[in-house]
Amino acid sequence: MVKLPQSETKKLLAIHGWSGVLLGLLLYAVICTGVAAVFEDEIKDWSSALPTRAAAEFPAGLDAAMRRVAAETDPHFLHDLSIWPAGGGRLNLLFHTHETDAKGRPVERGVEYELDGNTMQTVARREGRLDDLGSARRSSALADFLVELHVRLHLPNPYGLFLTGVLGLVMMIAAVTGFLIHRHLIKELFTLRRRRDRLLTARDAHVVAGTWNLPFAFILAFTGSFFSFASAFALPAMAMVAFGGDRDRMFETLIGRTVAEDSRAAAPADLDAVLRDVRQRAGEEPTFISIEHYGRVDAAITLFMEPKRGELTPISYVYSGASGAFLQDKPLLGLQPSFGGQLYALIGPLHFGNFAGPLSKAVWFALGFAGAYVTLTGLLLWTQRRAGQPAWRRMGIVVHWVGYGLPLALLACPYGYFIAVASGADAITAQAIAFLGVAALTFAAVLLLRRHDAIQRAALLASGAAMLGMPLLRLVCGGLGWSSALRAGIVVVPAVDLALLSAALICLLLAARSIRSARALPVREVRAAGWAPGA
Amino acid sequence: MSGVTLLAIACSAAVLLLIGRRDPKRLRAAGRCDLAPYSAAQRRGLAAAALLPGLLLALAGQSAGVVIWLGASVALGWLLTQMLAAGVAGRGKVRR
Repeated sequence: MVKLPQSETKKLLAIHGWSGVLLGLLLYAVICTGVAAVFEDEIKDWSSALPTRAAAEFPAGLDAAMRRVAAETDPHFLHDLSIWPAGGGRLNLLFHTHETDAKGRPVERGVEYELDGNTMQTVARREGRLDDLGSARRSSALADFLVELHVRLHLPNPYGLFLTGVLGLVMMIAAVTGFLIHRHLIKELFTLRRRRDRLLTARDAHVVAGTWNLPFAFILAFTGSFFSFASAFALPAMAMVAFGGDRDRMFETLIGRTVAEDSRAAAPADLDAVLRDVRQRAGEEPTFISIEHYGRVDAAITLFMEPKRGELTPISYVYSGASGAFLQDKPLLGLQPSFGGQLYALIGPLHFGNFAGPLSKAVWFALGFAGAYVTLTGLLLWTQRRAGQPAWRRMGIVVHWVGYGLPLALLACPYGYFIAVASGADAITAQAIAFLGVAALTFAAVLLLRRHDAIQRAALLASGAAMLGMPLLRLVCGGLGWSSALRAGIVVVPAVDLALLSAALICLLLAARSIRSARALPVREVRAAGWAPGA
Repeated sequence: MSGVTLLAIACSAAVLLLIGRRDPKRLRAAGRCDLAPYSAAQRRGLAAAALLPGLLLALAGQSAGVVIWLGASVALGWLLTQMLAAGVAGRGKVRR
């Protein structure tokens, strides 16, 4: 495609390989968890479904529940209110206020109520800093673990976000250099040679997957990097430079204020009536509700909606929080549509793939899976080519460990979670122990098995078994049965179970095929095949 | 929207399968002598046909459909390449 002098191609190949190999394992972890996090909402619903489900995610009766929990809350926190579906049929209502800590840094503290969306009864109450509240949610702990690993690798702010932002840049560099060094991009789009030379076969597998996935690798890397850097660096820097450190004023300028400031007290508007009105106007369901200046004359209710059918970008509707009158529909940035606002609104849907329900999520899952495959095959190729050198052989061990051990360790998390929930133990700690325990076991298995094909087979077998047992474990640990779930209209529970069983079947079939082909090879070829650390 | 998008994806995937089955480089590398490769003009025509459903979605203002179609087409393109290499699709005589 792009004809470059040989020396330039060599330099780009070095950049492509080294950028990948230095941070590739972390990038692989971010991509793997991102693949699972596409179904974050479904994982929450599946792992902690309440036995009954309201007809809507923001059901009638929310207004009364909001007033009830507001009356139970310290008035200090009744500044802003966020309401969102917490998974499993729950609703989270978070009253919060903006403060500064002892060092003068901005912090948000609040009180969060977890309600049963069907009965509107409070099932959990948490109080503290918003950063800490997030890590204390038991019902959504399984999905939150994946998302935290994807967003900041479980590192504290802002270091985790900064690191994942850099990983996004690395992925972009790898995508661009990969595009430039591959001369026959289109000609070899379907060329996947299966030869005795495993390195050439591995090279084809990496190149073909990378070529097909190229446009979306770039899009996912760019949008992910944008989110990480915006939160960790760009927004704080902008607040410092342009607004003298006043973050509230910055957000007010960026997002726009629809109601003039008036701090007099006023009874909150009927939220149920607002919800009825917005459904009629938008024809879609809200995904998130934010009420600024709760209980004041200048209160504003912003309802963030699903994108309209066939469209990519969501829109929000603003109502007076005092009278309940409709004020305006507005873009995510500013009060009027703008080119910059449109671009900004595109970043979320293009990264999360959540703009058209299960279809777009399934496609994003496949694209993420392809991205993880490209990263792992690239790392394996790089280390296998240098397996003659002891340092690279050791790196090869680590690549095999992370490459095949990470998905297994992630599959172990639900085991820790369900067992802990059933036995009354701390689910968050239990799933972390399961993750680390299986990670340690896989390291031992990699050292023991030594050969690439044997490690791959073992990983397929173990993954298949783990996914096969997961629906059963969920049921044994008190999870919702299929018939109860279907009677209550909770389709996601059997759907995720079936998806797991199908994935398990695929893994086991691939493992069986691999075992058959290994048996067909003469013993000396099996011994010589692939990577053999320490051999 | 989903039905139209799925139809567009299916059409593009079918054309990608046609291109892949008779892709000259793939046939040469696999030593296949039973299938005649497509000429450059034929491949260009089929490539345009593979892109056509996405273009129609774009003209219909289905921005979400276009993005889903593109994502699904590249993912299915990769899957078809794997299947063709494994001999699942388009079996035939192999020249040794």
